[in-house]
Amino acid sequence: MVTKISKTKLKEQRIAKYLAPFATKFEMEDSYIDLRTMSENFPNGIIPNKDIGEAVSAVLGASPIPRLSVDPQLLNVPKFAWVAMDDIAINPRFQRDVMPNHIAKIESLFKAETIIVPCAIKDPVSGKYLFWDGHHTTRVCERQGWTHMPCWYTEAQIDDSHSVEEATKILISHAGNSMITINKSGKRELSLYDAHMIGVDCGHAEPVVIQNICDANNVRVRKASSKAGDISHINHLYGAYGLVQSSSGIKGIYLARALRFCRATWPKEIIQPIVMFSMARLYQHTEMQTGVLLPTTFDDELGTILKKKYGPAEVVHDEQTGFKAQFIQQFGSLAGHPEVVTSGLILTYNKHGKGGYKLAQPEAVYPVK
Amino acid sequence: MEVVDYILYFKKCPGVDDPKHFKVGIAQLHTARSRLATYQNAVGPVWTESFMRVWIGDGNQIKLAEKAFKRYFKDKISSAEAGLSEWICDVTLDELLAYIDELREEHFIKFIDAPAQFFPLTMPLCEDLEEWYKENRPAEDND
Repeated sequence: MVTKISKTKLKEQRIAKYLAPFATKFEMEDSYIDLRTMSENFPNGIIPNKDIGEAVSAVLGASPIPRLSVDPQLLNVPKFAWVAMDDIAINPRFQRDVMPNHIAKIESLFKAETIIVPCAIKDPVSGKYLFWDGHHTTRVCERQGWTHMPCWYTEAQIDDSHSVEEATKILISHAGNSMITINKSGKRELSLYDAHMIGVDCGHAEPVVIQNICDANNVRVRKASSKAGDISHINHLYGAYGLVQSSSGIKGIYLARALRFCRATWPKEIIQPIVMFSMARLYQHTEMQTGVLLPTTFDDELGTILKKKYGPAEVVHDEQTGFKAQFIQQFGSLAGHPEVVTSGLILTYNKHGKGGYKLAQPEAVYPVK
Repeated sequence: MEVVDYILYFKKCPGVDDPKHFKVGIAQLHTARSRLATYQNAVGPVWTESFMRVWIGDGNQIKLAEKAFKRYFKDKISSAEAGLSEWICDVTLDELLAYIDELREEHFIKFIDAPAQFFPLTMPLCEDLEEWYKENRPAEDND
């Protein structure tokens, strides 16, 4: 009898086989392949295109058409041209309205070397290039005085079986579908994690400072947390960083304190972002209201109380037995998580703390363990 | 919110005397018997299904313990395939028990040992274990 192997098992086998030769293993999931870790296997961190293609095939299965078997230069699409500004036109049937405020926004960020090449179809009747992507970029370039736009374009296939009208109709359909695909169904927003990591690598001030604070506290910024000290909630990371110390006007002090608290209290755990962010808020609110930056002896005492009452950091805030559950029990529904958890931390210390530290007023009052 | 009592258990393949592969699973304390019955149904009358070791706690903590096990022994789980994803392979019982200690001492997860008198936990003992826990549930620490 032939044993059928499931798709799951086949995928596991493909991935295991693919990963086998790499000294540094990396995550390969449907949702992401960890290119930053993968790059550690290559000189200078440059991953050849072929290797990424093979990684994708290990996850998805073999590509439907053999690699390098089609020369797109022989196909009708797409072609490249520098198009004179006055040869560009818009057909609103496959374009959205023009948004001057969006133009103003991207105009302020304009750099000639970073524009994306717009896409168009070439109208067989007028000869104009009808842009279906990059219209706002084109408007900015025009306002910057450009004479031409770079352009990827598709031409109508006019032959014995396609009249000009039919070919135009096909082109318009192509443009409309493409416009929807790239702007809606195929749109993949840059994740906050990727934006952070790219910012760090490109030397942007805020990401670099945040990364330095993480490094100093042995915290790793990850797309998905899996190991002790990992954090993946970039919003709360930046949120905690953004809390300004009123006495000095400096950012980042409370983030550093909160990360240190989490690492010292639960050294074997991933960072629970809401607990970390709420601790940063606790430090800030307390300093604003009392003028005192809480000492590390306070951290030791509160950490011990939380471990005794709840155990792991995840249980401190959860909706089963943690602060959120206690808040719901009192008020019937949940409020903003940072307010609920910050209040819970303050109320817990006020109830059990013996060190006599004066904390900020909680934003909500409810019974805690 | 009502807290539901759960067990964390180790299970081996029935009939294997010196196991190298263990299933680390969880179940509600109240339904542990029917969980064992499901496993028993698969092996028939030749073997008796049982849980080798059992720990008890609130569902929240036990679920975290299971998650931590899967993460820590990720490389020892040979497949994500249904029915295999909870089996930790090529380990010793001592390694698993050492991790139980780590969960308590270094991850601060709260659960208690079921007493040795219930090992291995078979279907007839499940009701007794539930009774035992009712009488021995750790008091909420409210000092």
